This record gives sequence, structure tokens and C-alpha cells, in this order.
Amino acid sequence: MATQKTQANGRQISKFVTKYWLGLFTVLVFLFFSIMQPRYCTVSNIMSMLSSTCILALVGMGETLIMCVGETDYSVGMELTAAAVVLAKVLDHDGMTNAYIPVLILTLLIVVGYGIINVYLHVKIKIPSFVATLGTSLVATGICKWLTNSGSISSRRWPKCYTFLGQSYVLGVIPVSVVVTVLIIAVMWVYSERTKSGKLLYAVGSNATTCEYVGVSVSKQKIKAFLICALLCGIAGVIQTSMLNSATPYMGTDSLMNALTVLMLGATFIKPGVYNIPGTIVASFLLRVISFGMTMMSAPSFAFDLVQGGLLLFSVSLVTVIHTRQSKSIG
Amino acid sequence: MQQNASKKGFSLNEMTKYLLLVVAAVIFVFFSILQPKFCTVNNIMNIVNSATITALMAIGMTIVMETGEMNLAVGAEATIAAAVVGKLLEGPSFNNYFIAVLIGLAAAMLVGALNAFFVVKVGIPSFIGTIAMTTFVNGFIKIATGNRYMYSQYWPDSFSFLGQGKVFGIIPMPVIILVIVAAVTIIIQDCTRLGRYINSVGVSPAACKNVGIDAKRTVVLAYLLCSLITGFCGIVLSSEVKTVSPTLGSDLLMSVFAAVMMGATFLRPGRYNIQGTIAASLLLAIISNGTVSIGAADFVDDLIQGCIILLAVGFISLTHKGGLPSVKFNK
Repeated sequence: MATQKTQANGRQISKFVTKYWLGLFTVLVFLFFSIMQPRYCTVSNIMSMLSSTCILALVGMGETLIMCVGETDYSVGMELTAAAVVLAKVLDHDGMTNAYIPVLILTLLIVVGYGIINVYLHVKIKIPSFVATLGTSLVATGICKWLTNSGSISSRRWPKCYTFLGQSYVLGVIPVSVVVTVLIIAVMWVYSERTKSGKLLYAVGSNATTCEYVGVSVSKQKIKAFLICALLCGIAGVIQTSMLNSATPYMGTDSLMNALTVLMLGATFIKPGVYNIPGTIVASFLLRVISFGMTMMSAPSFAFDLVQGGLLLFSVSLVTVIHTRQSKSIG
Repeated sequence: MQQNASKKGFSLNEMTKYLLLVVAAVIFVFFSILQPKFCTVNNIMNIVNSATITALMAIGMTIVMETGEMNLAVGAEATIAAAVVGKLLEGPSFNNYFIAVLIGLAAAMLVGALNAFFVVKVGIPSFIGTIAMTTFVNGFIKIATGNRYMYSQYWPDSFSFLGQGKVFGIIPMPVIILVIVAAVTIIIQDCTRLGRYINSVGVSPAACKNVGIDAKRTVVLAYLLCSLITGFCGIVLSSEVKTVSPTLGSDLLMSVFAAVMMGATFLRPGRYNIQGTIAASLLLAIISNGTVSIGAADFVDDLIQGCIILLAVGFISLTHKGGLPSVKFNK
């Protein structure tokens, strides 16, 4: 009787640890660095950590939705770049400088259009999503290089509000980019976890055939995921070009790998084995917590790779092993 | 009558199978007309030479993809082999090139073995396992190279033999290497039991288990073979440019991926195969060489590559029943 109880207890603890492991680990790492380095736990440092998380979290969320419906978007980086380049290029013209808001909206529409092309190629022409987005992102790279002459553009004609999103502060402490991202995160969190429309995305990912049987159109869900992803990446691009005050066709080259890393790490949080929005957000913050901490402790650059890779291997192995013990497989 | 119709269908099918090579030939003729210098023996050797590196790495990746797993660590495997060779020969005390190459290959195969361990033994989804492994190995690459381009005056003359040597004064050494590796791997793929097992594991691991094929062992062998080839590819590349770049492999990763994906439209549409991979690498090399030789801006290269991927894969997806294999990262 007693052993049974402890066993049940143990199982509960292991379940709890698997579920919230990533969150607990983030807190632990944060505390560790705060103790090691007094400057770490200051408001300004936390704020700069948060603002550097923005791009990662936005792109990560977009890619998460697409992975949720069982597809892959190679072009997240190019969607980000396209937004930045289009915004920068259009505002560079005389007479456009005062029309920041309309141009911003136009840019986001163009990026959503990019998403529509992606999803058309996948759903209608039935090209595997990875290859389709690989193709479109090569075309987009070509266009962006053409627009920017393969270099970085920045212009004096840009209005002052160009850097508003990326470089100014609310109340003098909180970066605007963080406020915007937190708002988007809140919307996405509620959307994906609480609304029917968001839950359908997870449903399609877990079993597309069943969804068709119960009358859920799989391609409609895919269209939704691709469009939201394009929009999020577009916003990320606008924020990033505003942070850097320039735009290059190479801005988004690392985005895909980083997004995949955070969403894979995130799949170990709350719903182990399922890509989910809350997990992605926690994971992107965790990566920044580690990289800021290691930079502050002046660790050599290879240490960051070892820690990030080791962490990824360890956390995924942990989840996989616990899952197989519960006789379920990941994913 | 009916026979005639079936014959017609047969020939169309044949056309689809070789679409990639037809496109390559058309583009080759196109560039030859625009630029007379394009179609010289020297330039053709250049094209094949530049296709070699992509093709070698892509062959490795193809072998793993045939088993239904992924290997994104090919870049890291290539780089670690090159970095180990460069590091060993750096000092004046040790200059036996042959032994250094063997140790480099051993390092690459160690990475391959670790990949196989995590994928087969622990059961991590191969996509995330190999991404994590890439990051992890990157740390060691940075340690070996010091995170900069590595060059040493103590490198023996034989260091550049694999990359810069020429047979009969005209055929570059890498081309010979490609021909040998391609011949061996195609024979393994098509004429040996191992190759048949690799492909059948990719089609259905469960069926393989039922008829007594050891699926796990086959996957492990595929990973090891892949790491051996990609490691060798890294050594050839570093010998060709006579430096070891810490990002040598990761720079190539995406074009390698593109080549493997495009290759799946060739010969056996819907299945990854080595012949297709080589044809696709040649096509990509022709495009980039051609755009440079007619003096077009570098964005043209991206545009043409993107359009060809979309057209070739789109055409196959539309004409073939069952379509193409999708890259599923969440099995």
C-alpha cells in the first residue's frame, strides 16, 4: 500500500518535472547567473534581454504554428527580410517619408501575400511545403538582393518614427519592442490555447485524417497557419530593421535554425511532445538568458555552442525517455 | 490502339523522370549561346569541380534520407573532419598527411555514431537530434579553429593534393573523387543488400521488422556511411581552398538540402536517390557558373534557382499520383 502510494507520488513528480522542466530550468539558470554576476539581475539588463528575445519569439511562434499543422516553412527568414527590405526601400522615396503607417501596413500586406503564395504552392499545387518555401525563399532572396544591391541600406530620408519600434522606451525603461511583442504573445497565447480556431491547428497536427473525417478542412487550417506565420515574421522584420536602423538581404539567414531550436526546446514544455506557443516563448527566453549570462561572464564563444547543443540534446532525451517509459512516443 | 496510348504514357513518364537532366541541358545550351567561353573544356571542368563539394555532401545526406531519417549534421561532420586535419598538421612536429586524414575521418564518424546513438538508441526525432548535435559539435569546431579561418605554413604540400591536384593536367582531383564516390555509393544503393535494406527501411520500418531486417542496424550503418562521405568532403574542400573555415559546412548545408530535395524528382520520383542528387548538384553548379560567366548580378542566380525548384517540383507534383515525400520533422 505504502509503496504504491510513493510510486504514484513519484510518477506525479516525474510528470510535473517533465511538464514544467523548461520553465524551472529557466528560473534556475537565471538565479545562477544573478548570483555569479551582480550586474545580471538589474532592470536595464533584464530589459535588454527581453528586447533581444522579441525577434526570436515572434519568428518562433510563427514557425510553431506551421509545425503544429505538420508542415515546415523554410521561408521564415526571408519573410522577415522581405518585410524589412520593402519597408526600408519604400520609405526611401521622396514624398513617402510622412506616410509611415500606410507603408507599414502595405509592407505587412506584401508579406502576407508572400505567405499566400507559399500556401498556394503547397495546398493547390501540392508541392511539399519544405521544398515550396525553399523555392519561394530563393526567389525572394533574389528580389531582395536586387532591391538592395546586395548590400545594406539605410537612409537619412527615413522619418524619425522609423526607429520608434526598435529603439525607444515606454516610461523610459520598457522598450517599445517588448511591449509590442508581449501584446502579440498575449493574443497568440489566448488564441492557441483557449479558442476553437487555435485548437483546430493542434488537432490537424496530431491527426490530419481524423480531422477530415469529422469535417475539419485540413487545407483551411494550413492556410490559416501560413498566413499568421507570415504576419508574425513580417512584424519581426519591421522591428528588427527598426532596431538596426538598416536593412540587408542577409538579415534572416539564422532565423530558421534559431526558430527550429526554440520550438523543439519548447516542445518539451507543458505539452511534452507537441509544439506549442507557450513552450516556444519560454524556450526563446531561456536561450537569451543563457547567452546574456555567458557573455557577461566573458565565456569563450565555443562554450555557448556546447551549452546550447548539450541542453537541447539533454532536454529532448529526457522527454523522450520519460515518454517511452510511459509507453508513448514523442510527437 | 491501347498499346499505342500506353506507349505514349510511358514516354511521358520517361520524360518526367529525366526532367532535371533535360532542364540542365537546356540551361547549359542557353548559357553556351550567350557566352561562347562557357562551353569550353576548362569551364566544364570548373562546373563539375564546383558541383563536386555539394554533390559529395548531398550523397551522404541522401543515404540517410533514404532510410526515412534526417541528417542536418552533415555540415558539422564535414567541418570537424577538416578542422581536425588542419589542427593536427598545424605544428612543425607532425606532418603525416595520410594519418591526419584518417584521424579526421574518425572524428567525423564519431559524430555520425553519436547521431545514430541519439536517433536509434535514445529515440529522439532525427531532425532535432542532428540540429542539437550540429550546435554541440560547433563548440568543438570553434575550439579547434579558434573561430577564425585556419591556415598554417607547416601544412605539407600534400595538403592541397586532394583539392588542387590534376590528373593528366586537365581533370581536377575532386572530379575523380566524385566519380569514384558516386560509383561506389550507387552500386551500394542499387546492387547490394545493404542498399535495398536502406530503401526498404525508408518505405516501411514496420514491414522490415516483420521480414527480419534489422532496421536499427541499417539506420546506424547509413549514418556512419554518411559521416564518412561528408567528412571526406570537408577535407577535400579545405584542401581546395587551402584554409579551414569554421563555417565551411554550415554555409553549404542549405544548397545541399536543396540538391537532395530536387534530386527526389529524378529517376525515381518520390524517392530520394543518389543519381538524382548528383544531377541536381550539377544543375545548381551550371546555374551559378553560368550567371557569373555572362556577368549577371548575383541576384539572378537566386532567382533562377528558386524558379527551377518550384517549376521542377511543381511539375512532378502535378503529374505524379501520390506526389512527393514531404519532409516530416514530427514523426
